[in-house]
Amino acid sequence: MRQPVPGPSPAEVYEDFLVRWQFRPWAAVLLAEAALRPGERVLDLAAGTGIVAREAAPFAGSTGRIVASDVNPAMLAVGRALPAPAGAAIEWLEADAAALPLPDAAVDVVLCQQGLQYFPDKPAALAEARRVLAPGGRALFALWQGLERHPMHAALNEAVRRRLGVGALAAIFAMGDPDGLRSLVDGAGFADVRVVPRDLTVVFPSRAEFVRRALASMTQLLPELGSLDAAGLADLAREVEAEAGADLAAFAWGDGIAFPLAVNIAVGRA
Amino acid sequence: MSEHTAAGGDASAVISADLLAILVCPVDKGDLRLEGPTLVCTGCGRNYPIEDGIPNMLVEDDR
Repeated sequence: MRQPVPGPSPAEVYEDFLVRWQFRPWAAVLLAEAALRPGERVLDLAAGTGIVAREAAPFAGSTGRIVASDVNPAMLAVGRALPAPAGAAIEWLEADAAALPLPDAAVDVVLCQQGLQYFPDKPAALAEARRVLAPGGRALFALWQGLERHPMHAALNEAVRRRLGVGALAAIFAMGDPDGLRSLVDGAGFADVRVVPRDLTVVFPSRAEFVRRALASMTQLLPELGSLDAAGLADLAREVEAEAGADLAAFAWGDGIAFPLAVNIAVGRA
Repeated sequence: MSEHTAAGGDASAVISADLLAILVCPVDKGDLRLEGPTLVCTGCGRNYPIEDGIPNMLVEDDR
């Protein structure tokens, strides 16, 4: 009997889709704020498939070092299999952000792009990030601003909520309050904490694929979606697309979809 | 890049010397030693498997 050709895994879809069109452009924004210097040691915390690590490698240079850490081994495996970028070597690590397997003062920079909102124990994870920073080191945590700043996602979230009974996408935008973010990072012992707002419009090339692939990618991050099988996810995507179609049309960009995203970057010093 | 291969030649146990040099136990931050395809804490004795070249440093209760 012929075996069906296996499709891409959720982690591969995440890399080929959300990373390519959304997280890679945003990694450049984060790195502009981080201003890495040659030779610096960098921890990419909640690295996923490692886009921040790969974009950081040329800045840290061949004398630098990058550690990419995540709790999800499927995501790490996809990142490790990609061609290594120029510059610093990347080491891959499966670890809990609240119990990092690194000694005190091990790195100069901690970069965390869209990860903090998923950590079950945020104060513990922030304390660990602070602990592994060398004196004078810096940590940057990028988090989406609130769902109210993202009308396209708010429409998707509402459509998902009607189907699943839970607005699963809201978890992605749950840490949009800059004051709450500042006091959380401040409370973990960082100095000179500031929150920098940034905006960027991202473009996905196919509007038709957007909902299906966005939801499939998000199964890596959101338990409510991860519990669906492929057929359930396809059904959900069809229903959500039908329901939110009018809202999505407002963001049409040729055959694609373009929408602005707003981020707060919390910056703290050791 | 220099790499250590554990005795027995298990390809999944390959880990770079640079990474081994900086890793510590996530619980007590003790030093680790390589035993076959596994990192073992010299302090508390907890062990962490290396799977497909990626150390799994999750504490056992959470795995």
